[in-house]
Amino acid sequence: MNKVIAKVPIWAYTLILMATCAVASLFSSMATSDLLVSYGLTSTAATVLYVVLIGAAYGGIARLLMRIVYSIGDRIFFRLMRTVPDYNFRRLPVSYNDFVRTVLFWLIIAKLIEALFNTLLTYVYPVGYYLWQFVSALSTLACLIAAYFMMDRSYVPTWQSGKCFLALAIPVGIIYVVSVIL
Amino acid sequence: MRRFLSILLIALLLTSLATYFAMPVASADAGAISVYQDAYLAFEHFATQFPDRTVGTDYELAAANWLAQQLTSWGYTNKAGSTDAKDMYLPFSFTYQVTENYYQSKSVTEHSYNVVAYKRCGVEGAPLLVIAAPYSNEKSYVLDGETLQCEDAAYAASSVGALLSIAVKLHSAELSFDVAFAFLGAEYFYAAGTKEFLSSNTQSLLGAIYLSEVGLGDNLNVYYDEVDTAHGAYIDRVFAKWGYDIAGKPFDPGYYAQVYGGDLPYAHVGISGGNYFFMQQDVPTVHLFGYNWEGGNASSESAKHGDIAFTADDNLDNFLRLYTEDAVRERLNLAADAVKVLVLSDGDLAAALKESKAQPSYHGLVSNAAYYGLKYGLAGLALVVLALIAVLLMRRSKGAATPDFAVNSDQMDAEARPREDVFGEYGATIEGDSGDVDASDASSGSDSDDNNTGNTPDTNDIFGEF
Repeated sequence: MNKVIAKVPIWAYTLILMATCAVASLFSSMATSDLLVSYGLTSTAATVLYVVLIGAAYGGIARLLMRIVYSIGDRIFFRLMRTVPDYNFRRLPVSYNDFVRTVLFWLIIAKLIEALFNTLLTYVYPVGYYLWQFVSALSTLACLIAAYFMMDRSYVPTWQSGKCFLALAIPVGIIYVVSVIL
Repeated sequence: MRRFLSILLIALLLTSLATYFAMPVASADAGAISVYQDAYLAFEHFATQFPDRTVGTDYELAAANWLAQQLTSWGYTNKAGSTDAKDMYLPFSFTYQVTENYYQSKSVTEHSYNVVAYKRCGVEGAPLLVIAAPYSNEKSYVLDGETLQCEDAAYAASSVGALLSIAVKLHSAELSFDVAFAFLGAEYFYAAGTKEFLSSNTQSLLGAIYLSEVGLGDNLNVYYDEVDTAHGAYIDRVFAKWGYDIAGKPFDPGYYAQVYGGDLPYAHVGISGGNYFFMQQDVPTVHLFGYNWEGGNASSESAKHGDIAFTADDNLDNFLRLYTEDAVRERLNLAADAVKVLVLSDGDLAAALKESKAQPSYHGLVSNAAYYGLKYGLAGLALVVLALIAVLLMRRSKGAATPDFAVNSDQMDAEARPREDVFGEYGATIEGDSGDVDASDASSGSDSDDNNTGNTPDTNDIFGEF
């Protein structure tokens, strides 16, 4: 699977994520129109512009956060490995490109699940609105964990695997908790 | 035989006479009040006499007084049983937030009047069915420096016409529950009249029928609740049986974000009126309103012309020009007849409403407790899951064999680790950055998207993809 994922360039994943997020926002008519209604923008053109902007912003922010996560994770890993004298073993043993590809791939899956649940709940049981938010955030968490385990970890030796996960989980956890609370 | 026939004839005559005199007293005075049996006439009289019913003004009070006089003349009383018209309209104050200059928010206190007439069934402790409609308007109301000029002829006056007609038609009915005819003031201000009615009501509510903009739109629509309800199923059957052309909720009702303070985080036209505040208190509710409720973005008042509700275009002349007198008459009488038929089904309606009331409430799902519980619960859950996985992996790591570090022992100074060019893509350069010790860099070089398949652990120059 990793080989298949690796064949697609990162920019293509980014564009797909942006499009998926735009579609998820479009189905999320309740959330989408929050801003639109506030400013009286209820036309189809305004809605399309809004979802495109939301998609682009989500994709862009996701990419920026990935850089930050990898960069901070790398430094945390360096600290966690302070007893190891060899620098080669003190850098994150996963490739940044592989990290970005896999996380983007699983974020797309998470967004698709979100769009599906959102549509289902909106039209079948709209009062489950918060339930949808819960499912959406939970699926994102599950997909981020899946991304770590699906990543090419052939360079992660067993003795480093715990600290490698911890190094990435700390920035991811902080960003996730902040985003859920906000 | 002749005697037998004579007795039979006399008996038949007496029976006929008895039947005639046993008819409700109401039929005797029906002629006096029949003028408003036609909902259109009631609407036209009301809209013509009181084009300005601006909230908090004497014009609104005059309209309230007129409504109270009509209701008392048909034998209705106020909450305490008084038949004096002055006791029937109830003044109240309310506060709402107004945005000025697009960004400044301030609290404004206004006052208005609710006109509520009661029809008592005579049974102690009987529940109350509320039939409500907005009646005031914002014609001379000044908001953010502008006079709104909105007469609410279609939104409020048409609903008043239908409700007056219903009141006339039900005045002699014998029911097993009490009925309140509530003409609500200041509904434009986040349903202030409905909120006031609910806060001052002490009687157990059987249900609520809320009429709004019944004369508007391409269709008359009915909406019950966000979930299927027993009373909804019953009422749909009644409407189908009588052949009333009343549309239900479409698959996509056209959601938008909740902007006026209910506990649901969203809204649609079905819950955009005061009916929502009855729903919030788990009162089985029927919302009758005119609209072109096709679903999603296709929904509007009419497919033929633009929306007029809550605009300066909502005046009598413009309303009748757009919708024509005949169509409005037909619509208002349809609404009035439909409600009359429902209420006259008495025991069956009461049973359906009671069954709906006994259904489990979903309001816990959309409460603040649920919202914050899910939010913080999710954050906590995420931390616990991540920590658990980390602990499990760390345990596994502990038992694993480590390489012989003596080979690279000359690189042990942790503080000497060179900085990475993390934000190099933004134009920042870091001097002396080329001396990184990662041996893999030599082979990976500039890792663009297409030349790095992800199998090389190129931990440096992570932003080279751009």
